[in-house]
Amino acid sequence: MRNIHVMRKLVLISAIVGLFFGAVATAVSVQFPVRQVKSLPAPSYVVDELLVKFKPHVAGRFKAQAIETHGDRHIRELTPNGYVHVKLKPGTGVTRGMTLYKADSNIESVQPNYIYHATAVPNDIDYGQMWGLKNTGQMISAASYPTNNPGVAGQDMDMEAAWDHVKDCNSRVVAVLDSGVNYTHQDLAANMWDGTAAGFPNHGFDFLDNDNDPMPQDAYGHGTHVAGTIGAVGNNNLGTTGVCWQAKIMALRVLSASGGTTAAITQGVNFAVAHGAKVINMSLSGSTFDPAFNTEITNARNNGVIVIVAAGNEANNNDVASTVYPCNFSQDNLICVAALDQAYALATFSNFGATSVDVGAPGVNAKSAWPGPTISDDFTSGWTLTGAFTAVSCDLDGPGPVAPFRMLVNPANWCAFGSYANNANDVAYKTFDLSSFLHARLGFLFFLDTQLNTDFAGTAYKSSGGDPFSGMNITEVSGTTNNFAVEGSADLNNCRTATCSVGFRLRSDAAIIDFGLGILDFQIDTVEMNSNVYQVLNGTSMASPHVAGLAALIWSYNPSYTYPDVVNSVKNGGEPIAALSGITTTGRAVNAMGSLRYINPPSGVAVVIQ
Amino acid sequence: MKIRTSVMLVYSVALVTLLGLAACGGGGGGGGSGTTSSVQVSWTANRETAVNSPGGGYKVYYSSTAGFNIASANVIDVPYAAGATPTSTTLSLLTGTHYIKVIAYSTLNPGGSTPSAEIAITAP
Repeated sequence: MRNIHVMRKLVLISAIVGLFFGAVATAVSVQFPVRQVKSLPAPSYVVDELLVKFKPHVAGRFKAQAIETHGDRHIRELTPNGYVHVKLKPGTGVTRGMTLYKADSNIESVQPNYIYHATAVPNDIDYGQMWGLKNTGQMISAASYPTNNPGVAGQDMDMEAAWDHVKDCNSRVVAVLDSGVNYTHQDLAANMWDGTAAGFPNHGFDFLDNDNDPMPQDAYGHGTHVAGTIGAVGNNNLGTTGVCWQAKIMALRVLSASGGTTAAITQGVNFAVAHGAKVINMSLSGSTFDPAFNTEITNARNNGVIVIVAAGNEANNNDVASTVYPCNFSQDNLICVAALDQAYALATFSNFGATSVDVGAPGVNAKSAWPGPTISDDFTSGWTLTGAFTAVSCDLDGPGPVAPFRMLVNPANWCAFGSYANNANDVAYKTFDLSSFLHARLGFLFFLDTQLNTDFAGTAYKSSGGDPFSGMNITEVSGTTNNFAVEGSADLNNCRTATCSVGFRLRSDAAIIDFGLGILDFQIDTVEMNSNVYQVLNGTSMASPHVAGLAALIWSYNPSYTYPDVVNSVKNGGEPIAALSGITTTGRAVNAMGSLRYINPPSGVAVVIQ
Repeated sequence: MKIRTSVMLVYSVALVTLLGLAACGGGGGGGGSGTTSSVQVSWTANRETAVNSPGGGYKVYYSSTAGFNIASANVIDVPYAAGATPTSTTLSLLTGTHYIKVIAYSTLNPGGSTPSAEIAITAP
């Protein structure tokens, strides 16, 4: 009995964390980063001027004399700080000029005449939470990755410096192959690809439902979050800011809440290439070399399209412990991305690989767009309970460190391993107003242990309210989950009314009773028109779109670039960090300013004697 | 009379300037006595926008030592000029074998790219 108790705890934790994009709390060796010295944009001062401050006793005419001695010109004395603005003679330069003036005993101090620019800081209200774009050492709110929160100021993509030069990625379409995108989100609507002329008025395609509406029908928000990281509208006073302030995001739905297939994904890549996308983001992974998928990556390459993919969230070495695709595909148009935390340590869940994973990017506590509000319920109020159904606080690990969970259980003493009654027909339900949503989906976790094929647990919904089991939309299961908490769900798209009742049932026959039903983590995910909702998430899924946005930004700044130029710029413009050294192909964290500075070595050098 | 003097002075300055430029070019190219050849170095234009913009351009380094370090080599700056991306320049090289590398630079990256592959040329 005790063993079962412990197993309930362990499995439960794993399953819950698994929902958050597989950030499994496995103990791994975390390498701590060494603070890197970053070079600053240059030139940052006037190359032939100085500001010289004489000691207080020096009279005005001696100042001019001292300056003329060096062959320089006295421009003016600045008030009120007493600095003299000096024009250096040609050829001196600021460095040598400072040395000469510092040697003069009548001079108190000397400095360059620095140049200042308006810095591109967006006014979006959540920008201050976006540590990956600008890390001030801020604490991220609603964070689910506790390590290094807050992190280290300056460990970021240097976006503000880059935005001084480019923030508009409109010239390069970015395809998001994912769970669909809520293209009406307040921070995405203006930055979606316009496919109207090609017959795709909804900004992409849905390869699961085979129609032209890539809205996340199952309210799975992953793709909306990814899209926001790439191109949430910048400087619109709303929510977050994308790597690109302006973008053209093509939404291609290839994943449901339970995953995707070769058929959908390969069609998605093909569509992206055929309709002009130059960057494809795929925050997804599988474990098997897939020839059809591989062929599509090559097709993208042959059309000059870059593919940015996630390394995976199993804390594995992709070179050795397991293979992860598309990360492990070897085409040169593919960049595989690991996740970094707020101190630029490798995230504990992130995969890595010295030959398969290329770069790192911010991938924890990442705030981005979400399709709609999540209705969470802890069974505290509003529930109609019959029979033995009871809302309890259940301490699954006994005296262990995990706080009790709010659960809906049957029997009432489920937490103490009691047994349900014979001849039960118990229901528990609650009514929700889902009338304002475009889509809705129920998700929950449950433990089940009933006599197989005679005793059943059920889920049901009814759009007109009341006992949902008096309606037609009922799903039942029987048997045991072997003390695993498993995911349950129900599509509520046909229950989008003001009186949608949702509930559970336990029914049993006259013989044999088992442990029964325990439900937790009840939530209804939604898609809302013009959503203003944001979510903080962890995963290499969140790291990859930071790089996809960067690729589009680099390409927009350098429109003559070919796909290898962009790949070189992303990889070689990155910032070397200790945490990635030896476990990625570059050892670098992507850096926007570094990539804009990066220059490919000239090619085609030839000489002719004349 | 004053006007004529003034004009003559201007001519004189212009002449000195021309001579000065010619002398400077000869000294820089030949580096002293000996036979020199005129060698045209060309390259493919870089695709970085900032290289082919004001403040950007290319530098051609040359040396008589194979595998030379550009920090201690002769250099010709070939800056971007309005509307024209430079893709060649001419060197005066003494008789013998010379090695050449090209870098590209920009206002964002005044230090420039890593050098191109080194090529050798034997001046007659």
